[in-house]
Amino acid sequence: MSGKFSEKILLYRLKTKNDPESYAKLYDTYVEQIYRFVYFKVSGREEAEDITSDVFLKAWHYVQEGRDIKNFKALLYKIARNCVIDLYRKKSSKPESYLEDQLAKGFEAGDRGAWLKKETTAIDSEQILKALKKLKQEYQEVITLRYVDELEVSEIAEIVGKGPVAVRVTIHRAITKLKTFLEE
Amino acid sequence: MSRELKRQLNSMKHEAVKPNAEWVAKNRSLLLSQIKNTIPQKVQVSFNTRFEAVLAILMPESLVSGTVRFVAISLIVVMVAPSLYYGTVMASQESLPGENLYGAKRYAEKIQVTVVGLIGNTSDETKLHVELAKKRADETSKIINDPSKMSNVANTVADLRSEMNTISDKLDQSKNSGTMSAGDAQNIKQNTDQIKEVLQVAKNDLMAVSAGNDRTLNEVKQTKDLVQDVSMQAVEVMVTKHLEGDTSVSKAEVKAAIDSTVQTSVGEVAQSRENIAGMQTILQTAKSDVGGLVNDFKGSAMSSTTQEITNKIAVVYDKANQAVQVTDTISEEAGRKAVEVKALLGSDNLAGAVDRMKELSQASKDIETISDKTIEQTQPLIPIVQVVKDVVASGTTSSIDIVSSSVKLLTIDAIISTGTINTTSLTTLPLPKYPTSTISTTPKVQSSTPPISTH
Repeated sequence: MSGKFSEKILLYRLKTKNDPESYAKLYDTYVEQIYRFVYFKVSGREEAEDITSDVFLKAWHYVQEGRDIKNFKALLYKIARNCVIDLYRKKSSKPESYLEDQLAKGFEAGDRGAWLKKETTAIDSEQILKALKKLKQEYQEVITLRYVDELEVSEIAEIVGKGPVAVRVTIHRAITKLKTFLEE
Repeated sequence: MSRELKRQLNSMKHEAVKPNAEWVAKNRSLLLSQIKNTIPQKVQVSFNTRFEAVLAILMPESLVSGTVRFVAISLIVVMVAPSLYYGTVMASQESLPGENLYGAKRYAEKIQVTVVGLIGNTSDETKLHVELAKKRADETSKIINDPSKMSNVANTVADLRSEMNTISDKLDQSKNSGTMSAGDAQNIKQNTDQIKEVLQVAKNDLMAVSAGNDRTLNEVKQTKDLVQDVSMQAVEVMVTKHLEGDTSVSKAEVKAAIDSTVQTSVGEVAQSRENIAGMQTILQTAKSDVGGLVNDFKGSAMSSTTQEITNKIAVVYDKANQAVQVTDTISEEAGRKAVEVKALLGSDNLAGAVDRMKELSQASKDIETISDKTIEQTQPLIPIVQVVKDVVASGTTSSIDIVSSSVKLLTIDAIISTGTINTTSLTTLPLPKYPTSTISTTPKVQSSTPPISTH
């Protein structure tokens, strides 16, 4: 609650005073989440960093234009999603997802696979990533947003441009499909 | 299975993918330098933006746009709608029954009654109904002589009666409760007296142009009697409250109210008696004039007609004589009661004085009914007699034929028993002045409409 309230204060200062420091604090709050969201969808760290920078710059311009912001976090994710789509279009080829990349490289990513040191968890995570890889993009996206980034259904709905009920249904189907792949 | 799967997915957030801390810091600096270059020198932020931003802090984001819309609509409703409403209502205030805006006026009044009923007390409600009754009386006086609005008089008077019934109910309720003060009752008494005067004039105007069974005239008569009853009721409440210790009205004021009511009743009795006597004089003159014609027309075409008129005038004349005798008795009795009231007031017997006052009021109503009946019966005969006399004076056969056929068409029996003739229909015939100074088909109760203040 306090986090949300402080975010509201920052947004108020941003809208009324164009305070760069307020925006910097918002950056601190969300940079890791946006980076992770992008990282799952692109082929490498550099692309993830470039897109993340771009996301925050575009969000700033969005605020400057005085446009309506219902949820700043959802706005960032939405911009990030569009940036990734733009990247896919530029490449004009099937996107090389992080998952595919990591499966090939043995999860040398982020903290350089420190989490893999826990053997049992690593085995489970490897299975999960394989299963995730098999899911279609829509299912991968809602699962990562919901269970990795812990976004609310309403926030995911705003990001993907669907209604909350449709998102719930998609999440349910995605999880069911993921379980099916894991059982196989 | 699901819970474990979700836990493992969540653990990826903490362990799998994290941005390089050095890059995060470097990108932060770069971002800040980029956005600082885009900030305008002087920031102009509108009130709406600030308002929405504050709302966004105080409530969920999803509600903000809805709230802003709601506030905007509310402002429109609060500022624009009332101005439209008041514009219409104010414009309709002077409207009369039968006019386009009259409906808006009545609708506004209904809202007023509902609101006062919800938030006001009995005293406020009664005052409002008195005001509305005065408005109806005022409207009646304004439309009664307007042929285009004449058809609305009956409904307007019926509405007035409805208001008076409500006031009467409130007065009844107040007898056993403290919902009304003696001052309130005094106010009702003063206003109802004004309304009664207006209705009296309306009644006289209607009697001059209408037959006795006219619906509008009957409405006015009944309502006038009701107003008189409510006035009595108000005095009664005033006395009761005063005797219970209510000091909003002094004893002198209570006595003055009773005395004034008694004097009014006595005056009305005298006026009615005078009207009946006037009709008797008219009939006596007519009887004498038409009686002479019977001899002149012996053996002619007009013989039977003049004889018939003479006979009918004689019947009405006899009735008028009886009415005079009855009214003489009532008048004497009224005089005695008035003296008694004086004595009772002198001995501070207010309750006894009120009883006498009510009896006098009833006497004035009774004698007025007799007076009205006499006028109704006499009124249709006057123009016929006048036409006959005129024909005699001209001596032309064609005129005699016209009169003969007119009189037969009018059927004298119907005229006398039901009064279905409208005297204005006869004014199309040449009617010189009837040579009798006492002729007046309008009772001489009031000569002009008294002013009635509705504010």
